[in-house]
Amino acid sequence: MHPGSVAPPSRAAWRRLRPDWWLRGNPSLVGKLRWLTVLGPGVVAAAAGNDAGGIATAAQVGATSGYRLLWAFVLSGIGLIAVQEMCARMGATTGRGLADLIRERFRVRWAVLAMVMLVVANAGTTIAELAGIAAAGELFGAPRALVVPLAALGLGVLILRLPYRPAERVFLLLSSLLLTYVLAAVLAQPDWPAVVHSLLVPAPPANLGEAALLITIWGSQITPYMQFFVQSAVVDRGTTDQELSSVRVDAAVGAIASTFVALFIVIATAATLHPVGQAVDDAAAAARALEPVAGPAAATLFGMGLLGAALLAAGVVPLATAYAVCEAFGWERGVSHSFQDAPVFYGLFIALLGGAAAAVMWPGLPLVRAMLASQLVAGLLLPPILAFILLLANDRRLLGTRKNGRLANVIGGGTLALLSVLEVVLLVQAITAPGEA
Amino acid sequence: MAVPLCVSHLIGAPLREERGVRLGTVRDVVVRLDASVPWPEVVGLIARSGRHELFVPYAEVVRFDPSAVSLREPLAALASFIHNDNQLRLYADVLDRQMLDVGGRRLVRVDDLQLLAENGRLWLAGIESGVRPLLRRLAPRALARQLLPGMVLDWGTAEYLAGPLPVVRLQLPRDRVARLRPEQIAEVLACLAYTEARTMLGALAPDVAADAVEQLPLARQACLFSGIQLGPGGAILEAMTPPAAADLVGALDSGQRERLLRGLPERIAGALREILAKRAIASLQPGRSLRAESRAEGRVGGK
Repeated sequence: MHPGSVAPPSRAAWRRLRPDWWLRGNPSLVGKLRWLTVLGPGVVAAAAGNDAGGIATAAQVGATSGYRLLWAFVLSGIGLIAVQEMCARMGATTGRGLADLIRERFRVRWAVLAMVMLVVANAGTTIAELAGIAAAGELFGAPRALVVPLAALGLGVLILRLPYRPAERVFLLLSSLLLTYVLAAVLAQPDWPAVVHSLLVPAPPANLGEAALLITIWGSQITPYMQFFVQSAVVDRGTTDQELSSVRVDAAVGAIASTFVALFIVIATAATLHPVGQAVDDAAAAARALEPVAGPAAATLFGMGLLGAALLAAGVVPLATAYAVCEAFGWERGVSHSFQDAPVFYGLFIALLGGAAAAVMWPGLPLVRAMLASQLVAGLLLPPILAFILLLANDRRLLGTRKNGRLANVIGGGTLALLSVLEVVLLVQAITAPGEA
Repeated sequence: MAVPLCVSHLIGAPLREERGVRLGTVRDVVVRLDASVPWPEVVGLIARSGRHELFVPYAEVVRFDPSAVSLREPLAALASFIHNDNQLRLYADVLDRQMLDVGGRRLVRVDDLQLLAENGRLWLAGIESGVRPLLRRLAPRALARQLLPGMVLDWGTAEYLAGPLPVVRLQLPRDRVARLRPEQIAEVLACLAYTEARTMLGALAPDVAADAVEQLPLARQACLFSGIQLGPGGAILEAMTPPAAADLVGALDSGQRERLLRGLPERIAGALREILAKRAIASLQPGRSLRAESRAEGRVGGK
């Protein structure tokens, strides 16, 4: 730690701060999610990074490409650390959310564009989470026509009207069941030399499908909504730039943890499903990769983990979206307001959750493919959002000496360039050889 | 002429000579802040001509309308814009920022600004916010002028909060804010970004600020004081009740604590240090009530 830094507050200090903040009902994001921010936004990010879409992506990558694309998780993980750090630093230095900064710096037209992209990406992500809930339900033999509306309604009431903390702890605990993938990966006796080689040496995508899969990986790792969420969480927590070193550590820990879990899901499915040519078409297939650990209980274990992860994110994503949009346009926001005071905030939240539920209940919608598609959309929309973040993080008038250093710019810029190239390649190939896609 | 002009229409409008020769483009509108009048007066425009940014005094303008701004002839020599403290650039400093609607005690996003001509002078009269001004700014120019104004807030009832981008130091008395109750000011402080909240604290009378600060959660207090300027910070601490001031000072990191204490009069700094030391000792002896002790401590400022 350098001399200017301050040690993170003790547990007792946090306990002292929390009740105050809770009861004041100021219009801050999260409101009822604040306890999550007490854990540190990095932990939130770790939990959110492994949402239903992320799990589906990692399982699919392992099953279809084996170990080939492991390097992409490492690179996107490094990108995630850099981007999260930028957002956390901007939040701590300016005390403002990302949507707020985009509106002030880039003005109305760009703010509208950014918000439209955010809403589209997050609508996709919300669909993925509800598809995850439906898939988990189907593992337990419950029809999606019952599970999805119940879950959407329950989450809506929980977030808007009830104490959300206990429920969210349960979700977080459930999603931690996915850590069994680490054990499953080890027990499946993967080809470790191949794993290490793939981690260190990037292999170019073999075909159009793999190029799309790469974008999906980036989209699932650096989800656009997470950047808005992390920055707002840092602002809400009242972190100042004097605590920057702890904010940085937190961002890095969260990103590393999230990447770590994703990597082991890939290794587990690559070792079990890839050799037998089994693609992840449904949740049951992804659960099969856990059989080395759990045997017949694999489906239950996976179903509960998926359910927890999906429920956790299914509430946060629409809430963060509604908050960001209202922040950009200066409308009342936060669960402490009444519906009459904050119609757009509540309207958007309900529309996202309800719309996603309706989409998932479409009979015969392939759930896993919907989850993957949402992450692809998130990946496609990531470059413009990254560009906004990079421009803001390099603004000397905004951040002064806290503006981006060279390393952050190299990583952030590299991620942006790589994704843009991939997208152009995908676009050109899709146009010239449409049959292949 | 009672039809208000929208600032968003003026930005980007062509700047012409009276005969129609194009000189450049309007980039910004400059107003002068003056506490003695309710509305700030427009003093001129900033125009871009080639690579130069020039200041055009309002006296040189003969026609002021979104399709073109025409200048008097013969053309006066124009100088580049030099910013001074009691001027605001409406596009750079105000538009798209947040302002405090004092009456409604809430923050509004400035989606557009309205100028009103009266007695041959032009005044900044209203703040527009809501969906209509947003649509107007998104729509093509020709269509935009057909759109009616949205919710308009009198500039005189709103408070400008200097944003973090170019820091504008305002020397305006914050009378309107000071009339609010401490809890209400605290509510506002709690939703502002740090820079704005610090600027606002610094601009309030110390005793008003002190009462409001005491209503804030300790974490927020410490956060605001960790970056506050020493002058106003010290004055506010001085006006706070000693236990509250000691709580706040105790929550700061040691560097900022020392800086603040050193800036205070010796008597007050001494009293605060004493309270902190007593508490440190008391915390080592379980069972003793801190409250009883702090009640006996009296007011630091001796008032």
